[in-house]
Amino acid sequence: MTANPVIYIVDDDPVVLASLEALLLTQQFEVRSFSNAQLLLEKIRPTDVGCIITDLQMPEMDGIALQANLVERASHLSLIMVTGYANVPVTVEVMKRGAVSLLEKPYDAIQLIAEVKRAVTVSRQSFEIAQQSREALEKIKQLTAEELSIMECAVSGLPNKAISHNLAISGRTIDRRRQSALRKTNVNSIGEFAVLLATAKKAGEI
Amino acid sequence: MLVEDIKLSESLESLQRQVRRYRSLVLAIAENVWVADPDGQRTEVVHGESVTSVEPGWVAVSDRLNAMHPDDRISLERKIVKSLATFEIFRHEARILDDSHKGKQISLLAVPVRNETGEVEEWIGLTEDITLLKEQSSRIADELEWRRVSFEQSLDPIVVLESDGSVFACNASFCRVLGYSRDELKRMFAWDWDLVYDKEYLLERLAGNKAPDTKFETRHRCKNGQTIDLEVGVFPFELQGKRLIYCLHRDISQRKEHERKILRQTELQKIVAYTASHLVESGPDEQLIIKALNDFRGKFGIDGHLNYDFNESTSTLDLVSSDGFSEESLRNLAKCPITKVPEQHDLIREKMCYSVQEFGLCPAEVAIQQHVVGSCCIPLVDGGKLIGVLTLISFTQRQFDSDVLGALFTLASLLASTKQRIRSDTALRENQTKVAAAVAALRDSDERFRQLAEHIVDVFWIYDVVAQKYLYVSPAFNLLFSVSAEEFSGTTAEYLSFLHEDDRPAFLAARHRQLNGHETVEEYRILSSDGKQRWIIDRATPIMNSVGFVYRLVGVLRDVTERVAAQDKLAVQQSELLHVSRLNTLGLMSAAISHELNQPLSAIANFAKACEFSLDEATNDTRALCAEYLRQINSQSLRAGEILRRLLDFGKRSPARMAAIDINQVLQDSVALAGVDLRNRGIRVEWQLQSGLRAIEGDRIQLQQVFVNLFANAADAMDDVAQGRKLILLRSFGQPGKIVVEMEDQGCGITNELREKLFIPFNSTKQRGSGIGLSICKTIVDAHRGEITAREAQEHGTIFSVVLPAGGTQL
Repeated sequence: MTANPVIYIVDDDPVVLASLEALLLTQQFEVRSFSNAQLLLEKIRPTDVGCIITDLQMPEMDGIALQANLVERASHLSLIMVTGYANVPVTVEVMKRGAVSLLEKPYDAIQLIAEVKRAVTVSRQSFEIAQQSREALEKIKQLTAEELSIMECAVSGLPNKAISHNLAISGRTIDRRRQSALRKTNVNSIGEFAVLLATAKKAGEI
Repeated sequence: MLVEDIKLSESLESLQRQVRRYRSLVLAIAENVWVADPDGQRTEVVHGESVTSVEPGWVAVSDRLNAMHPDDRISLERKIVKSLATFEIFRHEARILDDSHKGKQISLLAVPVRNETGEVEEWIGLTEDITLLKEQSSRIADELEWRRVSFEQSLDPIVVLESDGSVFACNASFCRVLGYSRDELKRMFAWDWDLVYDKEYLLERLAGNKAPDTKFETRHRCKNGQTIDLEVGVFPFELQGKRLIYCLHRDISQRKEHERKILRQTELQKIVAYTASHLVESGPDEQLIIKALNDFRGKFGIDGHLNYDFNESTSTLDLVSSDGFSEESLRNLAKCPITKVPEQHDLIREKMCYSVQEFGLCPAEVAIQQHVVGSCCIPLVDGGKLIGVLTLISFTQRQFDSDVLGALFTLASLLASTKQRIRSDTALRENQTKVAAAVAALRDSDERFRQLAEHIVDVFWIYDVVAQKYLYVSPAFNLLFSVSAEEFSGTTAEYLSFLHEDDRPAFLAARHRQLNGHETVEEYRILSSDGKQRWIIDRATPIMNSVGFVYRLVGVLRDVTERVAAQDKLAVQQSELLHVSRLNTLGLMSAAISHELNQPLSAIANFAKACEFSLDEATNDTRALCAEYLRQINSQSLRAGEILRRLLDFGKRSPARMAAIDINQVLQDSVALAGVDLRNRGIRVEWQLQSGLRAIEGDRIQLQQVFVNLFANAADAMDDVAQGRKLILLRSFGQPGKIVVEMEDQGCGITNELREKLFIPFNSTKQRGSGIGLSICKTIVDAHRGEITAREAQEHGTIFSVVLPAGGTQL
């Protein structure tokens, strides 16, 4: 089960940090504030779901560096970047790396709250997708190498005869292994297996 | 009486008269008269000879001979023999051999006395002492010889001219200097070698019709065509009724050469300044740059081509490619066909290549088709990068002297900065024009000040302390005060009435200091009766008696109205310049500024919205929260306002306003202004500000500008330093009479060469720098009578140190 969403906020200006916390608390979010990005990175875990609101310009680790670090950790936390001075190249870079949004200070509080809500949803989805992929991967891993290779051929749409020809295995053996694979992964059709396989592949190499 | 008797007695009388006459003659010289036999064997000394100490009486000739100096005996004997044989008048000089052996000289004269029949009866002789005469004549001969030698051997060329301009005499040095032989010179006239004065003028001078100028400078032409500068001293004199002119020459070619060099350098500086002003005005307009270069070349008399070439694309730098001169480029260089490239070509290529790489100078001589071409290639360097070349080609000059090369270097740096400006924005160009204008204004006021100094009439005054009156004011008093020295009563009260009201207290305070034995220099305004206001500088010195009592004051007044006006104008222009520069800085800081301002604004927005949301469900808790949020909103608005105030102050067009200020406050404001930009670039600022420092007299905004510029400079210096190690240390501390601020960065430091040029305008090593930041810092610090220096930090980085004089009050 996923944890409650948490809103992490990072700003080197303590007053801005306090004001943002005050705003988010009125919306009954769980808020944690950090005066620098390094402290935040020490606190977050891979299973966290929620959103990070960070200032772009900060001494030592800035918003861009924080984002890069999060991507590397494959964190599910969504990122909202806030800046006092945005230019096009920075905006493009930040969005390309998967930030949910980039807001220019001073921002409209209503819009920020909306973005936060959206970000939390995105984060939760990301977490759930990851969760499902991991489960699918677990199922797929129960298959033997022979079963997996036959199923891959089947998923790509080859008829049994062709598979038999390609892998030099008899039609009956193929049929038996197909049935075994469907049973092990608890799916009913080759179509459902294809979905399972694709989900599993998101979680890593099979 | 018979007629014969009468005749007889007359002739007798005449005879007697003659006898009397001869007797008195003989008596007069009797001492040294002697008589000799016709055969000359013996002589009778009539009254004794004082010279030879011979007693009266007969003396044998042989004895007389023996009395002579042995060396003279033979010649004397010969002479006697000769005279006896021919009966000619005997005249001879000889030395006598006396006891003292002093070698007296005598002259012997003997005349034959003949009787009626014409036979020689006897000789009558005279001995004369000519020792003194001889000594004198030998002295004269020595003197003559000495003079002859000093004339002949003098290293200074001397010529003696006759009044018609021909040569009467000349010495060896004169011949040597002009290169003519003495004989050749004897046939020449003064105008044949004088290049400055013509025949007519020289003749007038020689005749003594011109002003009695005893010294003049001229130039002579030598036989080999060379010219020589000489100073001529002229002394006319007369010799045997002939008017002669003695001309002493002194070689002043070296001095003249030096003078010419200075003149040339001055001229050159003028040309460079002229070209600089052209380039500054012209900006990036290529036509105008070319025109300026042509002017430069023309004014300096360089025949050939002076070209510049910016290497925007590599193809334009064909002239000097990275591997030196190609044959093609040589052809371009000389603009004439090459049939054979001489051997030294390779050498030139090597040299040129090396020089271009080192950004140094490369003089090269290329011989192409018998045309000797001197060329010189100066790289245009901007920010340590080669951006083009300035080439000078000459068809007549093989080499260029250091003056020309120096000027070309200046030109090259000007060109490089022009090029840099092409890249820069218009604000920067405006800046540079302003700087040029300020420089021109400075030069202008300098010139005016010089003229003023030349035409100034100072007023001297003496003040009697006991009588409390001016004892004396010099006549020029009238010019300044429109009151003649006689009309001026001398009382301090009257003097005060001339002064501008506002300046009177300062004057009296200065007078008080003078009476306490201090020298003072005071500037004040006076109002002359025609209502005009003049600025006067009054330097006063107290005079003390032996017990240290000041009994008199003396001083000098000088009219400095124009200088003050020029200073005021300059101050206005300078504050203009500083303002523009600040606006430029503000422009650069705009990103940081908007961030700075957005911080409190977003805090306000957040708090306000939080309030609104909280009020929807008004409980006591939320009320308290809202009150807190509203307080925050208030303080954040004030914070935003403060930021705006600082920015407005910084960007304000304000004349320098000197006041007692706290340097630490200035530093804190500067950090606040520059701080966000520094933070964004990952730079930390650490400070150690000594508290309780004395106030300094200065302009808050201008000093902020200094430190903001220094911060920007330090930040730029650390661009290449790793994140986390970027640190600026800011210190302030007091020294006796001074307050020191030091700013240390962790950058790459500065080279000695750079340090010298650090504060010169347009000398930026940065790509985006205008090169005036540090020069503006220096201008401001100078105006505060302070000093700004840079030095290498102990480990790495640079320390900029600003030393300002401490004012009176303790803070």
